[in-house]
Amino acid sequence: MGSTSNCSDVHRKARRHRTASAQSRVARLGPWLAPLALVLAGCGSSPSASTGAAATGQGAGPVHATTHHSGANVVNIAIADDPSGLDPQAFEDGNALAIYDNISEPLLSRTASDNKIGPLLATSWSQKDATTWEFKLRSGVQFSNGEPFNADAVVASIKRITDPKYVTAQGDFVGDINGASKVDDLTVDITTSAQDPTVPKRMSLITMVPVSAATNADFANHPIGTGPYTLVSTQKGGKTILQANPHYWGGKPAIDQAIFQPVKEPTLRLAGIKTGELNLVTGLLPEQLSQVPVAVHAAGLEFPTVILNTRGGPFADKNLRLAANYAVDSQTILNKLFSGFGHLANCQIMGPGTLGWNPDLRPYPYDPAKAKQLVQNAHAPSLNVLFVGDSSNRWLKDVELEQTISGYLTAAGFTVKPSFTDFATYLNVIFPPTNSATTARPDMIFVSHDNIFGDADVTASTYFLTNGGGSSTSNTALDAQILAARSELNPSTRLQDYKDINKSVCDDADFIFMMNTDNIWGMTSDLSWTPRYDAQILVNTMSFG
Amino acid sequence: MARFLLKRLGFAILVVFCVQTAVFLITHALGNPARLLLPLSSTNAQVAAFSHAQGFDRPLIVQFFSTIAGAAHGDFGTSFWQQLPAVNLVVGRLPATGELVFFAMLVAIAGSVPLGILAAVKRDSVWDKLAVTVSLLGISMPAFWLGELLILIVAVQLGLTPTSGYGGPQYFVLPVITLAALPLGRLTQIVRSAMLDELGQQYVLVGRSLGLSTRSLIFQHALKNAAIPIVTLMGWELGRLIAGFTILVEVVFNWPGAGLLAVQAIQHHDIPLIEADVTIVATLIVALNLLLDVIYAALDPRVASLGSRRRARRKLQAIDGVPA
Repeated sequence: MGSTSNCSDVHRKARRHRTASAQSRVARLGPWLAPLALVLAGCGSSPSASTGAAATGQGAGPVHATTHHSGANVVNIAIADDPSGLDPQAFEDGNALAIYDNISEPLLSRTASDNKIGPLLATSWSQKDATTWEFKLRSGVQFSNGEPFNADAVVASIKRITDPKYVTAQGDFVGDINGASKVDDLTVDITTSAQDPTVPKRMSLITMVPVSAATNADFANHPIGTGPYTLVSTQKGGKTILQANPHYWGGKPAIDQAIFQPVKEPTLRLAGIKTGELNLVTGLLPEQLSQVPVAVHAAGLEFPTVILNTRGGPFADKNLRLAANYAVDSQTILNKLFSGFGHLANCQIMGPGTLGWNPDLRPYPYDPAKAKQLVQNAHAPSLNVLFVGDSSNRWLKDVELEQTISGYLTAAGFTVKPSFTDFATYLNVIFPPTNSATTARPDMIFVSHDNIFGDADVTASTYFLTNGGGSSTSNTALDAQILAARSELNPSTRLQDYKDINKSVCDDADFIFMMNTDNIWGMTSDLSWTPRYDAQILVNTMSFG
Repeated sequence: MARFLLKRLGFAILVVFCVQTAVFLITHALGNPARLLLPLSSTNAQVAAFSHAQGFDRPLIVQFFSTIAGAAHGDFGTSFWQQLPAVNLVVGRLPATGELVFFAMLVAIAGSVPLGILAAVKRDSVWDKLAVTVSLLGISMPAFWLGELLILIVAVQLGLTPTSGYGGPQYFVLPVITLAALPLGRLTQIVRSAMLDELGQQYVLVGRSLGLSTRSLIFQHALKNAAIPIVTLMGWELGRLIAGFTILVEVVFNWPGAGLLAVQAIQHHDIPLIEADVTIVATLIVALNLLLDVIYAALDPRVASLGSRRRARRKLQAIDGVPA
């Protein structure tokens, strides 16, 4: 237990935008180059007449035509990359989730704005004993191939995903869940190997498959679910087409057909939404949003932050950690680098969608004078700090962020030595292959933390606990708090435990707490849809008109 | 001829082997890929278990020979990213790349041969200047720039073609133009200069004085003799398109070919897929070169018999000191 996914890949992949930034520079030159381009296009197109004559004068592609001229209820959605695959229990990348979240469903749902657990395929749930949870299932639900959804299907789903021979990236969803047993046709018990208060959360992430999935070799290519859409066709590197499920237990959705297509470059996604070939695009850059017909955004999972080394060096001094927090103007960074799409983190690296978020904490204000004062008063033997970061654009604008933070710290009186490297080298530093508790840590490490799982234990176990994989702190009192919270079964006590943990970390200034960036989408003006905190793209929550 | 072929084949296999070795070393130089593939908050125990399951903890030399042995049987392992045989993923993408390259070469040849001939025949005329301008533009415009520009103008502003993607003929227009621009430019130049060379030869003058028509001189005599450098460059351009330029164009136009797949494989740190993609594309290029060698040998027997001629000359030298 205690592991999670990093972030939804929809966003992560969109962030590899080195070429994109070069391209957007070209885009700005567009009007000036137009006459030249027309000449070139003319020169080029005459010899190509043999291959492409049919295209000119025919209007944009057939996709465009179906969406806007024939009036069919089809939504065209751009995802950021090819989905890993369509088996709803095998993959965890955002591009796969975007598709199979519409085909398959878990037992429980998550609310759109604050990630609270609610009923879905199960109507109620309760904890029977330390390691057993009982779920009452919705009656009258069928898989799209006609198989009934019942306790047998749940048992088969859990058996499939926990089979050690089954290759899945969803191990962090499964955690300590080790089995399921049928009580009656609509009641099922789910068991864990150790007591685990997060079982309901897990059951909002693990999707249900029919009993036949175990023996159906083609299931990965043609998944069957209980969801509002069914798979029509899919093509590697190309379009995946879903059709509304007329027998969906929740009622037939408003949109008849959803076409998902991977479009890797943000500039191409922007171009596609401008021409109307696409109705909804993910992973746009903040500065592109002024150009889309409709921009929507919602608080997302990403919390860019800096881990400070409290074990040694200048940041062993709490006053210097405070100075670093006062020195960085997060609001200005948010406004300039992210066009204002996001908000300041409340002195913690999680948000309201994560259980354990403390609503009473407030961000450290930007106060450069106070920062300088603290630095001067510290009489530190050295103000040299080593700053490790990623340079591969793994996260949206990570290099720009790292450079800006360095600038602010330099202004406050620190001497920042940057070491921004490729992702593999970076990973070896932030998560050393040896025990991180005994490995020398750099003074500062940049990371963008996200917690799709939505439980503070993931964050605490990774970054707060002394022997957490990415921890640069060692605080025995905090360790005891974390271990106590982990085994606490009373939900309200547990929540309070994590709130207290967040308060300790905030008071100690173990991080430069910065911000929570938004997920951003572009839409055509005829589409109505409200984005979600977890970035799920549920087509049955969309409509035209 | 058989000896020549055998020798070429031996070289080809050696080249593919070297490419494989280089790819293996580069992909494994990054260290244990397990950390890259697992979620950030995975524990070291989870990383170690994954490493063991994937065989990353075996000595590098053992991994190398198992990779080479697998590749020799066409088995590159399972893609980390998509959990499918890597070789199937690459083979599935080859038709899209093949179509793009085929039409781009067609456009480049169909455009450059008439333009180059016209420029050489009507030297220093408007046509010549046009040919030189077009070819210089083709050579000097980077593909990503031209591609972006075409998308902005033709697809977004004028709405004549889709912005990106793969599908019917309208999807081909912009990527084909973009990919064809560079070989069109270079081929036009080589056709022009080869034709100029030939048209300046004595036999053309003699032909003219004998009253042969300009048309027959150009097409039956000069063009035929100019063919060798032109065909050489065409083969070379074809290799270049497959080897590298499709990657750029496929990325710019989101074209689901082997080039885009290579970029995706690298971004996903998918070592089996990188190895499969690079090795298969390298094999294609080597096979193409082999084919071109055979074609030259057929076109010009001197190519294949160079070795035997050299041996003959050495023998002569030994006998009566004929200078080399």
